[in-house]
Amino acid sequence: MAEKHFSLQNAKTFSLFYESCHLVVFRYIYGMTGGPLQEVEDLTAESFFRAWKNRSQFQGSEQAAIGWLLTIARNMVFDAHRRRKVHPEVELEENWDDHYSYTQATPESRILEREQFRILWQLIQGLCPEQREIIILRYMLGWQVKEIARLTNSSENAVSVNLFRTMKKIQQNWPNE
Amino acid sequence: MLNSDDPQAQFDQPQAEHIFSLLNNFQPRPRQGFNHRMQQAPWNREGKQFFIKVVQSLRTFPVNAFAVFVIFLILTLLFFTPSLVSTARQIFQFFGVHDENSRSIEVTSTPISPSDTSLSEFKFSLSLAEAAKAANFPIKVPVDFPKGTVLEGAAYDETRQAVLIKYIGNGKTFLFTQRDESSVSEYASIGSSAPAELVTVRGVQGEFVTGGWVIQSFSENQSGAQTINLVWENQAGMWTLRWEENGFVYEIVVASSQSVSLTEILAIAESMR
Repeated sequence: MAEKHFSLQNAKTFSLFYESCHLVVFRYIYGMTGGPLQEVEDLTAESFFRAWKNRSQFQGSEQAAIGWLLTIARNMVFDAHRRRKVHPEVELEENWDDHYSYTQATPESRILEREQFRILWQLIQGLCPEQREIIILRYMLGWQVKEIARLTNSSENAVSVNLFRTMKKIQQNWPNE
Repeated sequence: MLNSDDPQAQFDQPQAEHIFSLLNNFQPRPRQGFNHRMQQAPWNREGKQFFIKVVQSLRTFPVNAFAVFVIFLILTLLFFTPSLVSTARQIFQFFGVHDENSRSIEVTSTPISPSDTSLSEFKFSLSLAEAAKAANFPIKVPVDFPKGTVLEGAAYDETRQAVLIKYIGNGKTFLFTQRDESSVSEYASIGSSAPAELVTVRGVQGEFVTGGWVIQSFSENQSGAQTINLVWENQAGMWTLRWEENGFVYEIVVASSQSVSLTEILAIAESMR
């Protein structure tokens, strides 16, 4: 079935589009850069500004529009890495757990969960950008493998293999004790 | 969801599902300030685009200010320099405008206004039919004149290929000129500072001018030819209505000690058949 054409020309349409996917872009950039928050917000805003400026170049469905927007964000993040403006080793924000939904009920378990997340975050930020991107898209944003393959311009099989290897790497690098 | 009941076990060796759970539970959001900032995004102020463009153009203020200054300077020169005013009028109007407010003509030349016809050798001795025959083109004459105005006579000026018709009455003198548009326009010129108002005459654009050339002095050159030195005066008691129609230039010059309105001359022009 042919995908419904989605236009970003109109300001109102673009505004609705922004409302529907700005958190996706923000979280993608947050996961890719690791923070700080100010830089994440700047890159998110700039991604949308660039998309607005070049909106006449986009043609496709709404899903394709999100992919197109993330490609803009992706290029900006990669550029930021190259210019060393983004530091993979950056620490989590002080109040990061304001945005974290604990699964554990007891205070002791929560402390453990908190520490687990902190370790996981550091390990993810230590990955190469391509591996980090797959983890963020799959586990933080909940994207399907085929959607990741489309965004990263690779095959689903390649994405699955890369995902498996990256998970293994995280588990292997997980500190004992 | 954690896959195990033992958090410590997951801490030591987390499974893929546990990693997924940890990441999925972290859903950061931008701060309030970011949302305020994005409310000012271009797609939220589409209606203000014109204002934004104006503001953006002000960023190049020094360049724009210089451009405005240059335009202002040019306009000032146009308004205050007689020769440039004349040039500008020549561009925007088909009527002749002299490049100064003074000029000289030889005594034997065609009269340029009803008041100086006596100084020329022109005799309005032809009838309208004779003038039309001499000109070899049909002439238009007014049919609706103020009561008491009579035809004095007509003349044909070969130099300008123009027919001149003179009417007098009620203290006013009317000099009608009709000539081919390709003929010389020198005698039709007005002073460079003459106030000219663009008007619609018989459905076309015309010009209403207040003022006229008045005699300032006489002079005689070495060969004995007499020359009249004229100067343009806005309060000369003369009014001119000029327009171009079907390949002819028409001119009505009224000389009077009383004031003559544009409406009055327009009515006469509209009655020309």
